[in-house]
Amino acid sequence: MKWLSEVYGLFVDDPKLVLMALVSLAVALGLGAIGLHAIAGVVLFLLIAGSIMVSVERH
Amino acid sequence: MNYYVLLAALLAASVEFVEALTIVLAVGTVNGFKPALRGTLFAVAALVALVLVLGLAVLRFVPIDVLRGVIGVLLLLFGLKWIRKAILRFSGKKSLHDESQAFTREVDRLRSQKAGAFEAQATAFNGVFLEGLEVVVIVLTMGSAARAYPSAILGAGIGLVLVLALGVALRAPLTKVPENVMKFVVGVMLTSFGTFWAGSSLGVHWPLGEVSLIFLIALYLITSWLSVGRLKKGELRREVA
Repeated sequence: MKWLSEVYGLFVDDPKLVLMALVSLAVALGLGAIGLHAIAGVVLFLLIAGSIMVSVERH
Repeated sequence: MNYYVLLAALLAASVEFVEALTIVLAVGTVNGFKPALRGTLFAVAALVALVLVLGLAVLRFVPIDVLRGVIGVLLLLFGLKWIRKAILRFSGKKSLHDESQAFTREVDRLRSQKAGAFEAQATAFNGVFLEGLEVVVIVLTMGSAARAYPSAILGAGIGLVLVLALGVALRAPLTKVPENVMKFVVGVMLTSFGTFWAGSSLGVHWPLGEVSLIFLIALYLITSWLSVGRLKKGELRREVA
């Protein structure tokens, strides 16, 4: 199982940041699904940028 | 040729191989350069095999839309890890990476272990392979999402050759390479690519197509500098209080 934790470590440093990024992607998917394709990009960027700021502040 | 992909792969590979070179030089200093170079060669061969096998399998069997979605998400997570570490390093919340310190630490560790030729070779192999794994992830993700394997492989190859040439010429850790700045740039680029491709696969329409990538890179740079500034200010306020 050591290789599994190596692979996990390659992508995850702060699990909460990963969770926030996945939620941001889900929000973008939702906006795209209801036809707000152009706004979805701006919202996705703002949510991810906000997630980064929150994650580093909580360190 | 995809120059975004080439540049990101070149920077990421250079940074990772500089760290690998430090380990190889430490092994060479303590145990001689023969086992160090043997371990390095085996590791590079294993990494090339990994890129070829996984790259060909992914391109052959996974449809491009699914691929861009999955790869975009992985790239985003990978980029977020790099950008977070870079912000913490630049704001003083995490110590900056220092190759001369890493070299001394590794030499001390190897001397205390009194390792033989096989263990020395294994240490060099592990160092190069583990540092190179991040390069493999970048080559595979960016190469497949942008359908730009040649650019990604060329970028990583140039990085490897540059670091090897400097390492052989200097026979010392590359302490002058601005590793921390390069990591910052790579983190911003990977996060931007990840946002772009993951977003595209989820129904986001980027108004200017691939040109939007430049805006994403600029915006993430601004976000990062804002974060660094806020963290530094917070630290200063705590010190004053």
